Amino acid sequence: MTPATTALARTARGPAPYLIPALLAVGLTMYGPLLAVTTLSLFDFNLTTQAPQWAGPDNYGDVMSSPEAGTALRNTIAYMVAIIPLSVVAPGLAAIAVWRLGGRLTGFYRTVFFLPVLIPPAVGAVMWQWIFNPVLGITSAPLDLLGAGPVSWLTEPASAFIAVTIVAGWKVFGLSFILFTAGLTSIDADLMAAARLDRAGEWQLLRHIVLPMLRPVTTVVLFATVVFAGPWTFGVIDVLTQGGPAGATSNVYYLLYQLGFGYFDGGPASALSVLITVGFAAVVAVQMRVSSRGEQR
Amino acid sequence: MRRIDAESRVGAVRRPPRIRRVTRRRRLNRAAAHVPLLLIALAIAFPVLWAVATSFKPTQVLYDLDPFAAAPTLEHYRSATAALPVGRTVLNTVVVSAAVAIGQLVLATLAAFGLTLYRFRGRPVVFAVLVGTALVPQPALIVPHYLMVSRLGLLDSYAGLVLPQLASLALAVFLLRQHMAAFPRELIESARVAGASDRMILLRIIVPNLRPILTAVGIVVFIQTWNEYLWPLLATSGMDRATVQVGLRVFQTEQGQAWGPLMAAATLVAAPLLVGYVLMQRRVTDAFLHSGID
Repeated sequence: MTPATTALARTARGPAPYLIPALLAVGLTMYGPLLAVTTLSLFDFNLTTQAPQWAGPDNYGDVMSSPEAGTALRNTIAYMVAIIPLSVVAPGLAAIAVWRLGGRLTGFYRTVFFLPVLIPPAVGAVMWQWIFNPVLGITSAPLDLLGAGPVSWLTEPASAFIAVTIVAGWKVFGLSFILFTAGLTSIDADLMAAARLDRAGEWQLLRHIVLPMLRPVTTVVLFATVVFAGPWTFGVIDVLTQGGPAGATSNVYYLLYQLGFGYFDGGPASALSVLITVGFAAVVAVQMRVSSRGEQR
Repeated sequence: MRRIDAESRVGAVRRPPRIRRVTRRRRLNRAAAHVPLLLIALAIAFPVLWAVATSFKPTQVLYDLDPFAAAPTLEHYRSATAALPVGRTVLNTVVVSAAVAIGQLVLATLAAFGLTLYRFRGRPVVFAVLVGTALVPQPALIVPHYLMVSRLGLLDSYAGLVLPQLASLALAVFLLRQHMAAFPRELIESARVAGASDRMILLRIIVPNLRPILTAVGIVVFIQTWNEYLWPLLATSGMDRATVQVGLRVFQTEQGQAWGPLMAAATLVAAPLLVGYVLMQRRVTDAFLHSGID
């Protein structure tokens, strides 16, 4: 066969058989439902019996003026910020330390740090719940040393928020650690060796070579934190606090779950879905922009 | 990693041997640098170790902080397995996670192949449609997913658990297309000259050669699905198709937690994947090493 005839055969068959399955899948389970939820957000309905009734933009007004949604949105952003020390800073530093030290413990660190990634959020949260249990008091002994009384972690708004953040951070830490490790292995060993021959100190290496080289992977880690930590936090919230006390630990996904499947308010739940998607897509798009600009540089 | 070992060995050779004091100080520094890392490792492992320790403590000493306050017992494991079909929920989770991983791999491999080997007018659009799924958060679609799956009568079924999770194809399509685009063109052309059909090129040449990245993507998707809580919570009601996280809710009663059995059950459901991970640790971490940036 000549190349010309194969090219002809190819245009005759075309790429359709390879593309159609994936396009069908995303159409039926992603874009179709997205269209459906946008339509449904203009109706009042519940998920079991009530027939949909036209509501227009009322659902959006309801959601946006409800204090719960305001709290949930603030909490969602607060979680994203509060988790950064555990999901970006600490794993980054740990990855650099393990990479510089090398040696026999490398495998041990990688194994232990990664364990929580494999423990499903609700299972991990159950284990932590036992630690936060005020009756057990395993946290009160160290707090006594610091001169603080026992904390009823999950019933006070501020400490409950901290507790959820700690557990979510515990779960994300290992993922970020591995991503940073991947970024570090791409640093040119010759460059490091050359800098060291020039008698560059550890700090200088870190400041002028390692940290700048880690900038792209840091974007990836931030991205992973947004994509993974949201859904993972959901399981943690459901086990530890169910969003309480008084909504202090709820996030937008948890509120969506409560609206749709706790109160069966399909209309406002759908409106919230649309708002979440718009917000999420905006964040992801900005991050993609930033990271692609970083690559061009 | 191998490269770095080689690099540090080069450093070792080049280091002037006479400065012994510096070397000793360096060694001390290195040991000191391990202290925070070991503390982090302890902090991360502690909740798991503590849960396991608790699961073996008799109820009378459950609140005793000394893990060896009394002889270990299996009573909690007996009540845990009586209340929760552990094997069933683990099996369900494995089946669903594997099905989602394999399903996404098949869909994404075919799509990536179609996008790489053929030039056609709508190509950028098709690519954007597939990778654009990254812009839609899965949990935001629970209302339409629930309506769809319940109308189809697929609640409490594997199909109902798997289908809505198939569409988050962005990562798989993106990575596989990138690797296929980097695949040596000459190999494909020579196979074509030899009369191979496109399907044969995909199955006999590309897939075997891309096995590392296919495994990596499969593992990442498997773990992602393993961690999924919200959708299984909505799509199952009894224990029949419950995943491990949903199953654990059995212990959360109005009277408070049954801590002993709960810790035993948490240990049992977490164990299979942890054991699997320790056995094939390299491959799993490598999977994440490859998937982040490449």
